[in-house]
Amino acid sequence: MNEKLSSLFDNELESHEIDELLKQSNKQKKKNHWSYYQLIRDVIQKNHFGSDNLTKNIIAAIEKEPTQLGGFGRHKDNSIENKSNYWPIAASFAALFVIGLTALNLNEFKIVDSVVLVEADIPTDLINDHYASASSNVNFFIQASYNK
Amino acid sequence: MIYKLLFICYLFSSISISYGDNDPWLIIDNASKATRILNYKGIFHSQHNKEIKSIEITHATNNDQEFIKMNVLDGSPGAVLSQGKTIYVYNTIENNVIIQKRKQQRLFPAIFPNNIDAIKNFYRLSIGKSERIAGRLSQSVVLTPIDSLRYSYYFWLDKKTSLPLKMVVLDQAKNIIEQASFTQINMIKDKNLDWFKPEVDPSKNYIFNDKVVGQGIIKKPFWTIKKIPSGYKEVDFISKRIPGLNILSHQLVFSDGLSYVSLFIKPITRGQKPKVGHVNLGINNICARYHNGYQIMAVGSVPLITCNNFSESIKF
Repeated sequence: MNEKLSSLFDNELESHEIDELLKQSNKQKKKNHWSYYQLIRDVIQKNHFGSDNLTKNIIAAIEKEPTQLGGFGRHKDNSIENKSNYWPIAASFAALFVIGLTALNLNEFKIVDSVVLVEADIPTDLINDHYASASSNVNFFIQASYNK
Repeated sequence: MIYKLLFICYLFSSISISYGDNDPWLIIDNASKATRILNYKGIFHSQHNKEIKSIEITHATNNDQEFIKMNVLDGSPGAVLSQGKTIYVYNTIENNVIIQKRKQQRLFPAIFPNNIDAIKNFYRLSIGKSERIAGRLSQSVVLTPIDSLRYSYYFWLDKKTSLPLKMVVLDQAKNIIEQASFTQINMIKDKNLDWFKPEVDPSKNYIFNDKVVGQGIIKKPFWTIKKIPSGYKEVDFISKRIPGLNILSHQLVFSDGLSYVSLFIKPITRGQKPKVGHVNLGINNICARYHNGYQIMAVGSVPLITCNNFSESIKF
């Protein structure tokens, strides 16, 4: 029976053999086999472009999927693991920040081109600070560091 | 022979007893106590460098708490009101009176520390002659340093009360560094404290600054101090934040009981030129050096050698 079906699709049967085969296939419910041989023939002859049913089924399956609004959900255990994975990155950024800040501060007060003699530029602010915290002289204790 | 030996033993024992009963340092100890417990009012001249000003002082002790009021009588008005450990300074600058809360200091006549043991080890005491100061008979005493790291202090102590009536500080060359002397003084018996209030001028703006400089900043030294002059101990520490920069400037105050030195550790900011060398400004020596981005500076009424030792003592 199957051989006759195959011959039918290969155009190797006579007309009376075809009638006989159709009657028998109806009786034996060989519809599935019929479909398979049609598909095999189309593929061999490079005439198969996929079935409409397949496309419809794929679209229907996609439509049944829930809509995703915000990223992909993660397993609880994985999220902890991933969070811990951020620490080295955060630490690296913090270290870079501290190094940068230190470098800025160093630039702020370590660039020294030359020095001056203290007698040429009397540090009156420091003298006042000294009087304000250590002088036994009342007059200058009162007057010192009033401009703070 | 035995009688002679017994007599010599008796003689030495009597000398040691008399020395114990009349410890010459008691005169300084009594003066220290007198400045804290006596009630008095007077006017003294205070000379600082070449400037002399008259200051009125009223002092009273009530329930073991000291009340002091001082008024500068010459030039720009200024006042100090001190109660216990709280001290407020009033400075008049043009139309403003700036009120500052400050750390309490030992100001003339209360210049002796409560515990005079510190000065016993580094000064020699000698008793001078009697003199009249501010109409009162006084005993002069001299504290001469045992080394070259401090100045000499001359005091005239009231014979009746032990209160210091006059003080002169001399350097090694006998130049006057600083002096203060009562021109009039009276003991007061009235325990009324009505005088303990500031004199308010309604035409002035009063600006109140209740924050003590450096208050609340925790001491976190990144330095070590080595080989500071003998007898000096750290008595105070002040840190200030430099405006606009998140870095601190530090001031360490050292004292041997009479002399004071401030040691500053201040970061050099961009564009600033560090100061080096030393300079003498009347009573003060200033010694500066640059170290690892910081200006190190010692300021104090001390000999140059002491000043230099302090500026070189910081390591980091």
